Amino acid sequence: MSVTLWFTRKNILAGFVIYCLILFLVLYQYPLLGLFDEPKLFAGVPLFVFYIWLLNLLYIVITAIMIVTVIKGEEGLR
Amino acid sequence: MEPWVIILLGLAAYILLVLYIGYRGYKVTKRTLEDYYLAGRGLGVLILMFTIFATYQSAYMYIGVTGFTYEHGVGIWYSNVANLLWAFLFIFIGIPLWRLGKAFGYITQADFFAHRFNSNILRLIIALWMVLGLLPYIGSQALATGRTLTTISSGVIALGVAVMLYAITIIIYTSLGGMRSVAWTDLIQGLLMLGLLFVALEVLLGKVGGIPALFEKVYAIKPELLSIPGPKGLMTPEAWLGYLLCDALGGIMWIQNWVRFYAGKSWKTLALMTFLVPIGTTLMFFFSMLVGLCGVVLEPGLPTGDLVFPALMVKHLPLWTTAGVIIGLFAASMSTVDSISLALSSSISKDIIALAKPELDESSLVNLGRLFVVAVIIAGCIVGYYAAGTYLVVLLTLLSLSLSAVLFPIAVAALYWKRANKYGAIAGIIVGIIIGVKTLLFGPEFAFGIYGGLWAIIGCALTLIIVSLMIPVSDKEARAVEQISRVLSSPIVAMVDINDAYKVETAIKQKYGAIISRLTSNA
Repeated sequence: MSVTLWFTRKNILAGFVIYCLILFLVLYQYPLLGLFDEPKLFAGVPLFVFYIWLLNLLYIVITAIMIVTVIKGEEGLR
Repeated sequence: MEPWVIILLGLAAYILLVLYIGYRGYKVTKRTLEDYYLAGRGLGVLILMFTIFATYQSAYMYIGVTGFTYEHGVGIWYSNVANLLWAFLFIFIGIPLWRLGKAFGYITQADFFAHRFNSNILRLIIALWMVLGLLPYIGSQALATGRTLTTISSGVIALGVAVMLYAITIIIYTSLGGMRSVAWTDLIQGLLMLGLLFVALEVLLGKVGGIPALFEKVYAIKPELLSIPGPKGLMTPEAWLGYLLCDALGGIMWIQNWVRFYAGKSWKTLALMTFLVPIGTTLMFFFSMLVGLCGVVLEPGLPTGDLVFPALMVKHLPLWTTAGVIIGLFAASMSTVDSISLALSSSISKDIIALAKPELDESSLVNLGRLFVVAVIIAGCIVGYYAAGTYLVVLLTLLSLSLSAVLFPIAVAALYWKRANKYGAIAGIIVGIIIGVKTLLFGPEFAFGIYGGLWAIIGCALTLIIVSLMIPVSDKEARAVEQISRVLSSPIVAMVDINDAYKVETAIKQKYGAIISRLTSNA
């Protein structure tokens, strides 16, 4: 079956997949989390929590930009 | 006046509010399956955001996350990261299903699988698996909420009475107004659960001296709580990866989440959920984690983590805050159980009863569905009541998610792999279920460094691939593949006409196929 979805181009979908893999299987995973695996505080917050929160914030901002761009681009595709 | 009477009065006001919303939903809901179970596929951004958020966040956030943090520390963030992954997967699973649901009139989760694989056996297996897998989850919600009310009232309100009060309220507003009532109450409940948890946190932080002071105190008491794998070594790399993936993939497959993919007003509405819902879940996890850490400072030495939230309420919150938090807990729990019961009732009436009695019309199925809402909630509460000696909110939830995640490879293959067939899907589910039940219920939970839930997904995927490669797809499956592919790929396809268009095209090919081929070859 085609992996084409009507709302965006194939290369953008491929980009989404790569973004997803890097984010959830690399940046959010232990080898990198392990760098923050010490119970010390950074700016009054545990380093681990600080790192996760930073990534969450990035996820929300980057994903919002990507989705809004795709929504605007869909009208062009149509 | 006794403090618990005041709490009960606050709770009564909340219950009256949701019942009123249920009644309003009943007044505007038509007696069609689409309107009753999917609110006419018309949920806008705000309502859809809160109904997805509130459906996924439950008593788990109040009792489970606080308790897990109390025992195992900040490793609970795996579940928040899973929420983000789950939301991101809407792009590949949720949005396509929205369009397919609209094009082919899917109401239940199994509708999609039955259409794609042309198999009512698969429909039955998926429907039954979801019913069996989610009844204990309803039970855990009823149990967590009922227990808290019993604790707050110092045992005056017995567990059975608390669970009954909880069940009757959900039964009334859910069975009356269906998805519309559930979604509207989810908006109120989502705001209440987030806002009232924040209020409780503010009071608790005031007692420990603020956020920086809280972390410093926890660091002094038990520093391992502020890092992974935590003081008991639970959150190892294998556990982090396994729990995270099973949580996210199981969340996608949970029937109550899945039907929300059909209910959005447009694909854009659903696309916005990929980042709007994580804003709410990230905030909620942060609040819950801090409450759990407040418990480490204020209530050390509890026998089990799931007791920390009720203990904090009883001993450290003023009466008005406790009343608010109880309402928040009820809201969190009810917003999940109403959605599960509605989704399961749709599945029982459409996937099981309609299969046995195809002569039933939509109005009859809606009426039967109302009865099944009652049956599902009562059955779930009975399970919860008889499991009253256990405190396993996070682990019970993870178990339910992991067993649901078995279906994930089937969903991906159904959407994106044309060779996948019903034999592969059925064999994959059976193998996945056997591995999942064996590893997660009987152990060992980890084998060769991989979480049992992940083994179940891997087993399902491999079986699906091998069997599908051995047996060709049937003509009916090939036709469904072509229909689905066309609907998903065309930017200009008119959704309402897709079935008719396919029929016309097939008829033309059958009648004039030879002439068309000749003309094409000449050209």
